[in-house]
Amino acid sequence: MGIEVHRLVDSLARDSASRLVAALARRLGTGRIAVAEDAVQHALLQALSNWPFKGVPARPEAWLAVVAKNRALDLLRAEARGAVLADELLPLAAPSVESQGRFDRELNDDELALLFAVCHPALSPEMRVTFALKTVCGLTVAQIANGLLSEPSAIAQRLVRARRQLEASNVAIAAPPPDHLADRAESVRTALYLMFNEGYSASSGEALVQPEFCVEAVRLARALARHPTTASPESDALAALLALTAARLPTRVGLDGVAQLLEDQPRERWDRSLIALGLGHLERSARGDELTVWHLRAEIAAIHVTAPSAAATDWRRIAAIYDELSELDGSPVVALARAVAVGRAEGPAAGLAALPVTDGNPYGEAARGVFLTELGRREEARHHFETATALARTEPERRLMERRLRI
Amino acid sequence: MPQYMLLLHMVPNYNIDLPREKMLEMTKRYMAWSDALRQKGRLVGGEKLAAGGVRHIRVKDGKPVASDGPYAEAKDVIGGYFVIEARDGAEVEAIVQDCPHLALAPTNWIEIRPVDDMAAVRKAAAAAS
Repeated sequence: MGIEVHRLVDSLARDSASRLVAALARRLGTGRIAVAEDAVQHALLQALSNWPFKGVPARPEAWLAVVAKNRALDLLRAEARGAVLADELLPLAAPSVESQGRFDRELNDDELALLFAVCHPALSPEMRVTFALKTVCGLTVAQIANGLLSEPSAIAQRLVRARRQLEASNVAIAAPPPDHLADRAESVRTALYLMFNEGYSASSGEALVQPEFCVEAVRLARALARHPTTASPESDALAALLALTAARLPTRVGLDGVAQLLEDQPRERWDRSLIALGLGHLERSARGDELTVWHLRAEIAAIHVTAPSAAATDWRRIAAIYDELSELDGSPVVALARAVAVGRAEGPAAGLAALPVTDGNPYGEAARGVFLTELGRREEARHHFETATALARTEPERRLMERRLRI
Repeated sequence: MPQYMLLLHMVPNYNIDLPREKMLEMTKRYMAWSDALRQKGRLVGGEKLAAGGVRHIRVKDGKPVASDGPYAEAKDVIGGYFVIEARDGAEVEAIVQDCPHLALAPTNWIEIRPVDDMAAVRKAAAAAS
């Protein structure tokens, strides 16, 4: 029973709570997301303090839904607007299907609508991510602050600003009309990609990875790709990219807490089921004739996870895909990744020549160090590894750079 | 089996700002504790008591007079109760020692009150007559 209680409480606090917030928020409108969150939080507190005495009711989600709905009505009545909304609020049915694995939980229509609302193009991508983590994924402000390496008060302020902005632009919590769907879906995809990256390669701190963010991003991307309203080759490509990259999460950091290079990662520990999921999405992403940045990135991720070793990886193909990608996305990150692939395909001299100017980027400095080492220019390499160590943004990365200095 | 009432004493609002993760953790322990008793058939009942709406009724000058509860400045209130079955006082103490209520706040404490076994008295009286 002990384990069941744990699972039940976790699933209520996360999945059920976020589902209920989405359902309530959709009925109340964007101006009332905070009311929906307060009401659900209240219901959860009620549940958690009552159930030890009376036992868990037969349908816990329905119980939460009723308490949350009543609380929302109370809060609205306090604003003297509740009477009108009371009737509309009544059909708040709790979903009967219990969630299984977190990757598999379907996104229902309410959550999808909420995801589109909080990933509105009027908000900056960072704001979208914060808002989605809080409202759609049900993470706490403390968890988000921890993951985004910010103060809880700053995150709380960002959320308040985001809510006000949505309220001011009068965004409906509904799936966007068909003629806006493509644009809006792209802004959701950008936010999910950023959410994933924040989890996969934290921008600073003790931990290199925040698996929670990655799991949520993969879950939402997969739901986006499977929901009839938002299914598209691009959404499949994003889901493929995130699932295939997430498969490598277990080996990103070694047991000693040092970041692990791709060539040092024990590939047998990569997650087979995520690889299979990702390859399935990749196959489905080929049904259109448009080649997007998501397609290109997903293909690179697929080449990595299906290669038997780093040495036996088709680096020429990867370099060629990066060529295409850099035409669509001219960011320094892509240029750097392209140079690394070129170096692996054609040798360190070619890689060095392809490297962009890397001031302030620890990965760029490290790549330069690696190529110089391979060319036998150890003293120069040392200098770049030192710079990379000083610039390293997370503790596991800093330790990796230090280790290279000792070699 | 003898019944015991467990009165869960607490200082109101002592831990009102408990972080959510900690609260979830405590709830899991609480539910696991009461579920274990329930499954063994030892939990007779229990309720969480609401914090507000407390009224006291006393007779003054021959008339019942109601007043607000003591909660505004109260140092100690009963937050809930359980009625459980145990073989004897020693067993009930062992059960109570594991109750997460005690771990939730240093000011929390539990009062054990044996329920008067009137059924046994009645039975004895019937046998004597």
